[in-house]
Amino acid sequence: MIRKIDDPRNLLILTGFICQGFFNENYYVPAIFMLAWILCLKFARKKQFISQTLEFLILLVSLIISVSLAGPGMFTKCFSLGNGLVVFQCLRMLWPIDKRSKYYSIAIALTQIAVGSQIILGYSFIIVISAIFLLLPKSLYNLQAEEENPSYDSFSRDAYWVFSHKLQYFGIALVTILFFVLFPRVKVFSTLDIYGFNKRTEITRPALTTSLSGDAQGDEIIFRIYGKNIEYLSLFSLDTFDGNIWTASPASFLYRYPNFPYSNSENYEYRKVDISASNFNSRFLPSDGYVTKVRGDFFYEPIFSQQGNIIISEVLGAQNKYYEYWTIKPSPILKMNSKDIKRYLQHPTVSAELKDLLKNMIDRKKTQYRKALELQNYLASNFTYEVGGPELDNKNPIDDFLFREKKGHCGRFASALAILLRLENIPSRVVIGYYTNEKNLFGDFYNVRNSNAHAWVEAYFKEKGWIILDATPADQRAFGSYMAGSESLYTMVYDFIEYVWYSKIVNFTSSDQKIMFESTFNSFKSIIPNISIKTLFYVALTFIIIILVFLFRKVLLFNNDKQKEKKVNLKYANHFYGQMLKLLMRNKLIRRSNMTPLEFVDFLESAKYLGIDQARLITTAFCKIKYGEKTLDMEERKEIIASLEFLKRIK
Amino acid sequence: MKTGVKLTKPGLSFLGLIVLFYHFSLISEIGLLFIIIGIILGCYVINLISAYRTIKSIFISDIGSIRSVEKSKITSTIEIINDSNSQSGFLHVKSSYGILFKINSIPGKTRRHIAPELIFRKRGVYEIKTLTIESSFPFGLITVCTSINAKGEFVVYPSVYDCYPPKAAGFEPMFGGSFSGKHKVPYGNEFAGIRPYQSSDSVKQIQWKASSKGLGLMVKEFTEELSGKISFFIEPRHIVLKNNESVGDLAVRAAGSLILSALDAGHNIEIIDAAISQVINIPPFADPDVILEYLSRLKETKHSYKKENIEAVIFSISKVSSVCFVLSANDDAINENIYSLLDSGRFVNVYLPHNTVNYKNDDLKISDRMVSMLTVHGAHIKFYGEGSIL
Repeated sequence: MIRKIDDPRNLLILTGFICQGFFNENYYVPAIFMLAWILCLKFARKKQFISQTLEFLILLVSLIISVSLAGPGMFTKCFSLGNGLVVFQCLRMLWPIDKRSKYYSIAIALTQIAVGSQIILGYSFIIVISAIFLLLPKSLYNLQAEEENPSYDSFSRDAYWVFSHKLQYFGIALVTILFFVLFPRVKVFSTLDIYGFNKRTEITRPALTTSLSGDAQGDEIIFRIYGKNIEYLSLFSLDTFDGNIWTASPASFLYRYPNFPYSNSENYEYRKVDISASNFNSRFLPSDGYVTKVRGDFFYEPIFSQQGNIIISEVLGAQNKYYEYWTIKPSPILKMNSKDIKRYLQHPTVSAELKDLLKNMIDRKKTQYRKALELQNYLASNFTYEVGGPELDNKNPIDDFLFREKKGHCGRFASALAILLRLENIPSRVVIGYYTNEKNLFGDFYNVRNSNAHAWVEAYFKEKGWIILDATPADQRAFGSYMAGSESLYTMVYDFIEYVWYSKIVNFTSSDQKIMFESTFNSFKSIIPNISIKTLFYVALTFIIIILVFLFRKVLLFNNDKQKEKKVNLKYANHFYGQMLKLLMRNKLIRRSNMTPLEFVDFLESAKYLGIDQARLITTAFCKIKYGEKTLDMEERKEIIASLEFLKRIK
Repeated sequence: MKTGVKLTKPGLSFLGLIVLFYHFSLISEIGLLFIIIGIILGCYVINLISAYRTIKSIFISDIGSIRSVEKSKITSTIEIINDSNSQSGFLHVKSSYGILFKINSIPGKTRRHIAPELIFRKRGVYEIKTLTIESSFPFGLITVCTSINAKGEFVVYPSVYDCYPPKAAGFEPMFGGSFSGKHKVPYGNEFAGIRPYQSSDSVKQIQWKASSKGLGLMVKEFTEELSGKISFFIEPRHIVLKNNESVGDLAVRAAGSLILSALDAGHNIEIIDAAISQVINIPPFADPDVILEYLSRLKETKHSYKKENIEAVIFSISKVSSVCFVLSANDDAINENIYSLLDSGRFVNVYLPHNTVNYKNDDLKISDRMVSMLTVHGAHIKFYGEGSIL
């Protein structure tokens, strides 16, 4: 039983079973598969005890059942076939199989592990990778060894290939890394095409109610975003205000395509967003700047609103959600037509008190932009941020906030600023999204938490375009119990590992590849300014060759040292054994060429030679060095010298 | 030296799996699958490098001339040297006649002596000019092969069997001869007795112990040792049997068996080679390898020998020896020579293929008429089959 368990092929099959089991999204199925694996090994017989027809029928039935029990979608059905193949693998473990079937079983196990790679995305997959890394080469080696030598024993010394061929394992690891990093990832077609996911449903219009008090949000990470200089990530913009509620007018959803003027710009900044929250189902994807292109696999045909937000169709319930986008920062200056300007200036009738406030506060000689900054600073310095405070008068919440309460959540600050800007004839809109300043110390990425949800204002200036204005006091923009900058080193490292695992391994995309090459190239270019990409390639190649030669030499030298030690030992062994033979020749005890050293000792014994014990000791030591490749310790050497001295005295 | 690389069947299948996984990983865009593909590809790369290194680090010593027997395992060994520091294995060394041998594993800087696995079904000399070394070490996904120049040959002896020697003639005294003559001689191996001393006897022959008993001088006598002479005429004609063997080979096996048993019996042997019109003399108790090598190199003939050639070569054999014809087909030229030998009073043994030998073409079988004609003329007819003389 232990021999069967220790068989790398059986262990690979078990890994496949576990991976396939996790496809069913619970722990019971992997446990059942494991139990089946153990039982199959336990009750394995030396002969096939069911006919091949029956075996085929069982396989067929299990495949039909597994497909019929699977959920909708071709992918799910394909993955479910793996459950049927578990039955097939189990059957094949119950009796001896030929070499071809053994290769099939490895292929099936690998396929099941491949299924697992789509389900088990956490760190636990490292165990699976380690298992394949160790078991696959040994399984293949064993199979080939069995073919070459039918009496091959997988428990023999020779079979422990894993431990004696570390260089080969190093090579496999190197190829794996190089393949992972360098091999092109060409997108053939989308997962969505396979799922048949192409429906677009109506979007529920977003809104912001100024009078509501707002709730405190948790500190769970919603997503991590890769990029530099990220602060404001907008979800959607609201342009219509009825006195209490901000909503997005239908005109906000006018799509920019196909006349988007910046699609050919090369000054994009790349962003990659890895969504951690399993319940993420927003139809608006967080983004910053002016998004020109977006790519992701959990939504269908993304569109851009007139305000630059990414709007997607229904969110697919995929486990692994990430998207990439390319944005222009700062946003380009786009001309607005009078109809749009009118829309961004409209406001309900305001109170005389509010008009007076503006009249007294704003210096009329200032530019529109300076006026906007003055209003932003006024709110930021005279009002207090508070979540969960009392609700405002829903008939006139702005006045209530500005003149009575003077405290509230970011939505109230944004709402008040937008209205004040509009009253000053500055087109403005309220933007809902996230504000983050939690940049990781080790990598170019930011954590975005639930508590980072934020509202701010964008104002339009003819000479500057749309500019972000945030009236919320600066020190209170990152809210909640989690304060950016308060993270421990441990948290930072953990976050970094998590980021690397999910963003750079699980979701390593062609864009990541491109960035990696570019950053390598740029870092070289910063060192040597006039270097071309071709030169860099040759330099890199030379560098890789030098490293490989160095490693190879190191291994060779290590082996040479071993060989030298072996030679010295052998020389020593020949020396003392030769001395013994010479001494025995004096007594006419000659070792014939057809005698092995041990046969010669037996011969000495039969000749009743006096120094038989000494001769045996010397011969054993000689054999130990010559055939066992062992080294003698000092004690043994002393014994040999003493034995030779004894033999010299025998006449 | 040509080096080639080919995918094995499992290698091809796993490559298909890689393509499938790659395609799948491009759809799902989950990098973990790339790691799995990378590990499988890593096995291919290591397989390629290790197999290439294996075939480059393996040296095969000179094959020379290796002796073996038809349908038997070869016992001679070939030396294989692994010149590299690392283990090599899964080596197949192939010749144009099949796999010479396989090596499962050979540690670095070691030598091995390996007996070839080849079993030759037919006697002959098999020349080796090139050898192909193949290795799929260590994963069996990729095979790298190279061909090397090698000089050597396999000399495959006919498989001989036990049989009675043919009747010899022309017995002559010979020390160590197996046959006893009528006369007594003063020296020998077999003591015959003592007799009174005669004036012609040498003083050295006197047995002093017996002479001391008072009966006068006595001398020792020994039995005369004789050795016969047999001349072998072998006619290995290429006539195909139902089991794709040749009657010629059966004849050579029979001849080999007869010659060796005659040598064991202490006879002088002459082999008549009608192809080159020569007579080869082999003294009694000679090294059997000489005869077997000669027989393994003996080529089958497609047509019968010319009458003049046979006459010329038979004329040059011993005038007193018995003549043993091992024939594989009906040949008038040979028959006429047999008749003339019989007419001149020579003792002639004729060995013919037995009726049980399955010819592909029954017309080529030895006719009863030929057998009866030879018997009438006084030849001693015997038959040989597949592995025995009947």
